Amino acid sequence: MQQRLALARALLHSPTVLLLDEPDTGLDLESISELEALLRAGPLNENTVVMATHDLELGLRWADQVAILHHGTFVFQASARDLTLETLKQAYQKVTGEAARAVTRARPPASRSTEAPVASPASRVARAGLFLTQGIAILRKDLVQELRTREAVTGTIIFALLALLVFQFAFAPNPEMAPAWGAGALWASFIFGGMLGFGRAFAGERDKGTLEGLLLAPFDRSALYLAKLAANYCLMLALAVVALPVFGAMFNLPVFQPAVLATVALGTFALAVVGTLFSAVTANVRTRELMLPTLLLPLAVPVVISASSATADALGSPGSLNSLPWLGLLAAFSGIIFAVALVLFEHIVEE
Amino acid sequence: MQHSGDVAPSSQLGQAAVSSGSRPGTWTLLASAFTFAIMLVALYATFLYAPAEAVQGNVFRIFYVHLSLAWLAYLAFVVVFVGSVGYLWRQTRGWDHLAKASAEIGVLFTTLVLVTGSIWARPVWGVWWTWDARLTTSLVLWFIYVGYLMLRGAIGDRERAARAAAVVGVLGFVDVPISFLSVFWWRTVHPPATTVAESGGLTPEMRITLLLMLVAFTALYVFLLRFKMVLEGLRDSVWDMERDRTS
Repeated sequence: MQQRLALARALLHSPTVLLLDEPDTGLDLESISELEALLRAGPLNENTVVMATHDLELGLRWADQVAILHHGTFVFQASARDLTLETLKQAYQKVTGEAARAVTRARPPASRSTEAPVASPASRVARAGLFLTQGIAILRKDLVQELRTREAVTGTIIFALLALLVFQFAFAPNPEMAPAWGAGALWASFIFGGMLGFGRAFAGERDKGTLEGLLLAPFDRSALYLAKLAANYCLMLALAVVALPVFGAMFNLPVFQPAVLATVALGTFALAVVGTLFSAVTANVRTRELMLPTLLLPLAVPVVISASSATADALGSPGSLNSLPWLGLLAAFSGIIFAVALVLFEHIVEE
Repeated sequence: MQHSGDVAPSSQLGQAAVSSGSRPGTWTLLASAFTFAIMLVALYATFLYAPAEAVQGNVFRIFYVHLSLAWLAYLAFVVVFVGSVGYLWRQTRGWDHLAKASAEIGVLFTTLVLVTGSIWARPVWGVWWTWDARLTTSLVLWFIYVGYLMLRGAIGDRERAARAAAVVGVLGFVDVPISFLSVFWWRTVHPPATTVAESGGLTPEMRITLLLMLVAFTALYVFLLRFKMVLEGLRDSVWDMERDRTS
């Protein structure tokens, strides 16, 4: 019954190419002949059907073209009209026997080259290129998805702006205090807004059931981390582009100066580095809305302190170099956590 | 994942735990007796042997407990880091037990550090709390490892919980020095509101008392760690039994 349902589901949208893997498994004789009728005489006859089967007789009876795959390569191909069951059997035994011998002969050098790749500069460049291509593919997928739905970016920005509003009401800073309070409010809203976005990076994949697919795909796990990090950083930058001018206007502060912009660029990156990692750690946790902030906030203490201090310094005395040590600390934090995250990441997502 | 390879060592560990749990060995008895005795000696030294401090008087006696607890808490978190790295590297249950047991003791000790620190700060600094670099870092540490334990509790699967926790165990440890540095710089920018009464140097009696307290708390830590690890071993074998029964 399940197999019949699976077949019906596959045929439902009249595909132009149909892939069948042992379609007769679990079917009774009547259903098999129904399927045969569908394939040979029905509307499907017009389309391309690729079927894998170990039943030589069935394959010969149903197919126009017969091919034998052995260890992933075509070792035999012929038109079904030119074959009898007997000749197909002989061909099968011959090619698989020969191929098996050929494979045994060929295996030692082949396996050596795949298991221990010689680290020639060229192959290293090729691997780095592949790594980049994979990362960019995932990043592009995330960005396209985000551009179409605008779920994360809208939510994050609105939430961060609301947080700014709440801080303004809660603290009502007088003009002399504005740089210090404002810097704090800005970073608190970045963190709270960012946390909403980070939470989606892996949990979203998991909810849609695509995380498994991502993990099954044969690419480096750190490419996945880098791509998710880049996507989260884009999200934070989008947030900053909107929130910073609003913040400057609301608190009447000179936000467009190099020190503030550099702090925002570095600080949001540092947040994305930790946030992406913990997004992956908590993706499979039941209480992840609770766990992500619980883990992220204490570890982000250096970011909170240095980013808001650097911003306050820059806003309080524009043009001074007071922010530089804080920027150094932010860079050191991002660098160290980033390196640790790259090493640890494969342990987080293996399932 | 590595179930087949995992069952044998953990159930062996479980049996070892059962045997040592039902009949404590001589070694365990000796270690318990030593811990108890040294704690008594250290308490005696703290309250009766060590002289009252010149400026703070008797209040200063809490210092011996406070400082020893703080050192042991840091040591406990170093052990969490070692256990976490060990687990990620070897994927054996023992390393995970070490990390988990040490994290629980570390959180307990850090809680006591914060409480004793507050009690000490009230008469000496006039406040329950000040945003001093070490205090603040201890609080951040406390939050990190409470998060670590919460994460363990939130994940049902044993291997996945161990892996996720190990990541936090490593990252939390790496984060602490940076936290300390940032809070320290932050304190330099915003000087503390209260004047901190400087204590004079330690007399030899005070040094001996501190040393005794440190040894006592180290013994207590080792003692608790061992018991927690036995407990984790037992918990693991219960887990295995339940899995074997249901599968």
